[in-house]
Amino acid sequence: MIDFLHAVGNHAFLQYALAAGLLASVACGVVGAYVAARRITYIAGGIAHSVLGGLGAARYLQVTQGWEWLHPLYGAVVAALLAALVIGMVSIRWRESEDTAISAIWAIGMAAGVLFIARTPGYAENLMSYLFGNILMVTPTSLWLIAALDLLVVGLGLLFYKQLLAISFDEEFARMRGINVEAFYLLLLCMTALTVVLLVTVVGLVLVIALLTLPVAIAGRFSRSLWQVMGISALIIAALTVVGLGVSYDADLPAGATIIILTGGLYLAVIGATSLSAKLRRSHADVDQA
Amino acid sequence: MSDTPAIEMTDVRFSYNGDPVLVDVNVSVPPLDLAGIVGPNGGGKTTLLKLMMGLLQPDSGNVRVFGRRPREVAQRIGYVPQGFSYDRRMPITALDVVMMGRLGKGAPFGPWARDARVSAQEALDRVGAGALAHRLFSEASAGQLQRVLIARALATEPEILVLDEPTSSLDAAAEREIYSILRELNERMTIVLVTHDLGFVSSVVKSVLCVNRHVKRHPTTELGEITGELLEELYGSDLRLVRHDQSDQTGYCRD
Repeated sequence: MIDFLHAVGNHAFLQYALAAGLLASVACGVVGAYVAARRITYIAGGIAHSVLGGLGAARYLQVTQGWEWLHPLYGAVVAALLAALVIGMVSIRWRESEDTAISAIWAIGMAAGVLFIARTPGYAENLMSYLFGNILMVTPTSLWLIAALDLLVVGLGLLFYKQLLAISFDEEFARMRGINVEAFYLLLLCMTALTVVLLVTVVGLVLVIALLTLPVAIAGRFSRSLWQVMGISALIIAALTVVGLGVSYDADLPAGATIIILTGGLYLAVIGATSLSAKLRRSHADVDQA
Repeated sequence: MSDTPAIEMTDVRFSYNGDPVLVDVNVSVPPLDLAGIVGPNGGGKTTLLKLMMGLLQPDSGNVRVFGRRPREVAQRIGYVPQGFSYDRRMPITALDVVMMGRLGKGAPFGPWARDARVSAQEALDRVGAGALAHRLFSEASAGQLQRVLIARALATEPEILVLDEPTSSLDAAAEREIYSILRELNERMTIVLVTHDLGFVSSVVKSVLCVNRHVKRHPTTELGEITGELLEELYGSDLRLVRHDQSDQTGYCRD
């Protein structure tokens, strides 16, 4: 870890990686709390995988058309928003078909991505980094995009806290209070889509879902409000990203996977510890009663 | 108080997937009424409530609340849903739940304003649940949960309070407490509630809406000096036995 901290001072690419991770963790904490509250984890998973189509298409055009400005992340943003809106519309109009829509978008997005990557001339070096992340590849350009998305998502999340909380907690009551439930639902899905894109740069699209759900689940055990869930989970994600980067740098391991393994480990440890302490408290209570 | 009925339904028909749930509904609820909706399961009680609140639209006919479309006056209706379910892992305090009743009042952006907090606490105090404010909603008992949801509806400062089976999961003592709260609230607002038994409720409500595809209203005064016991005898424990043959209409609550 000491080596890593030294290296951060000397290498710009590590600073970019760290900045990207910390920025993404704020959005992940805020949006992850809503995703859990509104129970749209599966939708987030579908959006995350469909992003491959956008990444592949943008990369394909970048190479074949010579459009240097077309960073694959732009493609990811478009694909994620499109997926979010299609799934959202289907779930509003035909609720029973929601799962089918998610599954379709999930798989078709990935298939499109694979086809684009196959047709992109040159070495398909990007596939693995799209799937499992390559935070060390963050460039100043992508860092700006990450910062802008982060600001947008976190801003919306805080601005519309009351409305998003209300539609997550009790949709019918929110409707009676004059809230446009459908519009805020679509807004939440779009925020989720943008957060997914942020996280893809950190851990890759396959692993996004762990970072979006597990820290929030941990934070939920120690919180009394959605605000607290947001704050605590953002801190947890930030810490996991820093430690994960450090461990992966020192041990020469893929950063995304290292971060996810740490996240999973922490989740299991917290679940284990809290249920154990509950059990101990209960058995103490039994002893006291006897 | 004007002569405009609080709720008026004319020739309302509603079907679900082609099956008629309510037909030929003509009913009027006067201001400051305390109406109990009774009828068999699947008879359309909840549907009737949702039509009144504009959460469902009738196939035909008109629903008017204070002479206007329910959607236009939804903000003047406080709603307490039945069998409220939510993700219990979601951390939220009772006060935060009640504050949602303040939505649509004050600034739409950012965190709750101080006056939302104050109004929510007042609403909790009114239903005798002030002490629960900072407790987790998921830890509330069935009776406490119902009080918090009533407080949330009160926080909207409603002119009509609509409750769907507010006491179905409560013991007799808690039920009595809820009804004494409702009776007090009824001094200032119209109350419509769905109930599954008429035993104790009959001494509280001012009118009974009997719902079984059709709707028939009986003001309890019109029925004469009817005591709780008598009403219970009349309606029986099984509401399908309700007899309407004393009036000009027959058998609406029968199968």
